[in-house]
Amino acid sequence: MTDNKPQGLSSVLSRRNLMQAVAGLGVASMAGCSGLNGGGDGGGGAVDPVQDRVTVDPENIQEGGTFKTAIGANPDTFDFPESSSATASILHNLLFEGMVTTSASGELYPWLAESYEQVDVQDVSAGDYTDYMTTVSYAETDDGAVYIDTEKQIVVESPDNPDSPSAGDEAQVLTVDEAGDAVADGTYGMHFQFQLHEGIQFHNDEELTAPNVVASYGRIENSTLSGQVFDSLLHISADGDYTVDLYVQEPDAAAIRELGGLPVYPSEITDNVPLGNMDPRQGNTPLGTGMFELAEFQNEEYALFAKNDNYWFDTEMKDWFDGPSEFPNGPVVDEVDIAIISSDSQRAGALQSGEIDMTFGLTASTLTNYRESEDYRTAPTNGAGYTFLQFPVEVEPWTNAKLRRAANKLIPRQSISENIFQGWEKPAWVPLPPLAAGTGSTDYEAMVEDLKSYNTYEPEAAAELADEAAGEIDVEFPIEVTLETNSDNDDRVRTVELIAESMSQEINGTQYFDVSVNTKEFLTFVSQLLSQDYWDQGKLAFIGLSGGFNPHGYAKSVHSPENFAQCCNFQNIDFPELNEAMRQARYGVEVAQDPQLRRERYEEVWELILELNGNSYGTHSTLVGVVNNDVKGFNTYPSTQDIVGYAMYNPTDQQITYLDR
Amino acid sequence: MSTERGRIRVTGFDTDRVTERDDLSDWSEATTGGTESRWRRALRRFRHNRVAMLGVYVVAAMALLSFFARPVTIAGITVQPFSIAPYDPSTILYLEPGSTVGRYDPPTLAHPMGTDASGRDLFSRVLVGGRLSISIGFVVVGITATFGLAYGAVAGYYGGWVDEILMRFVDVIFAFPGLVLALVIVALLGGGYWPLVIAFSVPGWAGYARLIRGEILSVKENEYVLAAQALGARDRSVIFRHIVPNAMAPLIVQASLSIGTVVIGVAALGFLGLGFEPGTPEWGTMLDQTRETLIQGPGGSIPWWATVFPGGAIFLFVMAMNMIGDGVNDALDAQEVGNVGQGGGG
Repeated sequence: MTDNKPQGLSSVLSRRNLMQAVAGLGVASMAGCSGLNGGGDGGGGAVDPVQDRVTVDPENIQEGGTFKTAIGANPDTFDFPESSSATASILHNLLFEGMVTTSASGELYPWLAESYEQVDVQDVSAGDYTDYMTTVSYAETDDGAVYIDTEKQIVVESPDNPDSPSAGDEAQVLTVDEAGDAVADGTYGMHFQFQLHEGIQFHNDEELTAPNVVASYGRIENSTLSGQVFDSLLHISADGDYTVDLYVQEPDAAAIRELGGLPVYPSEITDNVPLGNMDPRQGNTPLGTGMFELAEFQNEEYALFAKNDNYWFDTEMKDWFDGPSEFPNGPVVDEVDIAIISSDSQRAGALQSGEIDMTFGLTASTLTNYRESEDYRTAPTNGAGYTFLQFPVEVEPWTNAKLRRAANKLIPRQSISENIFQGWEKPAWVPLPPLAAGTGSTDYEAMVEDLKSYNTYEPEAAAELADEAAGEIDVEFPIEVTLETNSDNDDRVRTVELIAESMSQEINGTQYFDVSVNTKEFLTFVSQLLSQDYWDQGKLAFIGLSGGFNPHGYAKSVHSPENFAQCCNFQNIDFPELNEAMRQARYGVEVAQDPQLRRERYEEVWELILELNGNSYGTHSTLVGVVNNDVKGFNTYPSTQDIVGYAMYNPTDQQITYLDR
Repeated sequence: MSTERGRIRVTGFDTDRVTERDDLSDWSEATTGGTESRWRRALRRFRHNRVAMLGVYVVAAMALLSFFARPVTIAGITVQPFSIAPYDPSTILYLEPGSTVGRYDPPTLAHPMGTDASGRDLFSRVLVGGRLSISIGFVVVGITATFGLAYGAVAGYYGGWVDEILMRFVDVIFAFPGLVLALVIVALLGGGYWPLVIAFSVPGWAGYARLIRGEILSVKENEYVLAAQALGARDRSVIFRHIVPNAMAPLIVQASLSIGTVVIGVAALGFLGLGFEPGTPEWGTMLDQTRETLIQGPGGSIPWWATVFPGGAIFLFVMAMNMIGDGVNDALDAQEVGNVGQGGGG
């Protein structure tokens, strides 16, 4: 997701557009949020993104105490399906759990499920559901947006539906009501089966059963989250009390990661609390199976979580756990106190004054100060964030790939990394960050070695490419262009200024580009980017985005025509060759069954992206948690969305944090 | 009894005593070269005000340094070829091959004011920054004072319902806090030089209008105004040839003091990130770009040069303008002018 909270978009976009935007962002936010899973997609060869991981000797662990930290924004809601806030996910992940979880490197492990398996894969696509579809009409909102007029959650739309419908036209859709019929007839893309642990209790002492899982997934219907779930989920059903069958629309190598880890709630919530109301501000306590319970919440001030004394987990329940038997069966701190402090500098001040034990999201220079201090420890982890510069590929002369690559060769990534981010962010030599290396490449380092030359800073090579482009298209140098970004991120503005300066340099007496910088307030900028009018303005757009463990998001979000006017194909990029390559890498029986083939296909995708250069990837993020010396064992999760929950307890990496005051 | 009937003779008045007595004052036609105009007198008084003249020298020096900091090119023609600043203010020095310049390098001989967060030479940026900061102050005051003068003069001269309507509109302008109104305008129009000029001009003229109206209400009662009207002079002529020149003094004082205020206002908006694009060499914007350095992590040292020099430039200019304003006030002070001895007075 974009660096700033996507829910902020609601003020400038219609709800429908917002939903679409969030759905587009979702590849990322979903992956970051709770453990997404992985079936055959376990992330083979995954490398631990945690730099200099600290480990804890179980004998030294001290129990008790309150771990204090701070987040940058008030949670929009505790009701997970209605939340579009990355910050709120930090709180959600303390309370809720899913059938599978993930390690810091993105490998998937059964969690509430004792085990899961991929039962079946079939070569099915949207057109195969036509026989089960119903006919509904299109309608129009007050602001002129056309939508399919049904209250039921749409699962699949017919490929024969009109591309530009008008109100009154008819659409063929498969809704949740008919999806079960298709499944019953054996029409589905993939079938996963989960066996739940017996005896797991929710915070309200209710026992977890398969119907709870089904009802919890049903809670997503027509929610803010529905777009990013029902683009893949076909149907879910319970088989007895402890077996869950999950069906996917078409063979999708990322399906289990996207769908397996969604939170599960007790029937007290699913039966009685309307969607959006599972929030203390609505008089309801959020309930899940998580290792903490919400003890106190003061809106705009703090949230206090108490350890779940009845936590169900035991390391002996998991075959995959290979740690010492003394490793705790849950977090050891008694409470987690999360204050809401919007300013990063205030959070840094709070850490120095001892008000909090951990903070994150600090500027590079402040992080460097902390790294050099003996009183604190910085815990860096390769992150899921990246910056990218998107070219107006539909506007002359930027339609020429060589010209775009010429501009790309003038982006001084190493200098950006070293001078602006003091090494905390890494040059994006390839579109795929190290975080997703396990699923998106066969050998990440070798791939970087092969492809790095596309993204190295070489003015001479840029001049050659620009001259070649001039031979193919009618262009006069210097090309005047505006480079835009959001103004509220100083380091990003400096990055853009450096790129503009670099692109505007004279090379062998010729100035190829004349770049001026224009900055806009974040929401204003994003609303313009997400409008359908941006693509033909001929401007370069520079912004940040966050992906996840699924490599697909790093390609699709910024290239797919499906993401046009959503996040984050602002320039109407539509490269048929790349579209097909992306599809071949994620969808289909072959890649769903063969992770190695999938990795190979993604490597082709990355090279194609670099060749076409519709986007120039700038840097890959590093997420850094900073703790004082009272905190032992803290390691930073690659996404802020689970930065607290992961640190407190995650046996997949034998991760646990305790306090030694 | 006198034989010269019908003639009156005044006695007891010895004209010789009058013509032959010592002069009562030093004045004589030979000792004066004519009446000194109030403007010339004000200028003379201003010149003798050392503090005010120091302000003039400072402002003049800063303006000249800014103008000659980098070459000025208009429509491809270089109209000012000099270059006092050693670097282009937007050049990111660490991008140069082999450069050893970094971010926030402290002052050295090569970079007397150090470098900023992007590795740009602060000395060059402070010099060039004056072009925007200083000129915008003069432009805004020129526009606001001119418009306010005309507006207030019309209101004051015609009076009645014209005055009522015009001054109620002035009250509306005054109802908005000036800086907040400027902030709203910049938010609507976007940043940049002319949007900022508009942003400060829209609320800025009202003060001049109210001031000049008050002056004109008193000046227009003078006999020379009535005489001009009796002779058939047009209103425009009466206002701008007879009334306004005699009501200008407080406006000039106000204008000279306002330049500094505008510069501070522009810097304030720049500091809030609302004035110019972030990399623009404008003093307030430069301060904004270094705001993050004020809070450091443990053991971090604040790069003082990044804030002291742009902030010092703002301080120096505004202080100098205020010194000039006070000097103008002293030179044109109507109360004091009234106390000056008038030639021929008895």
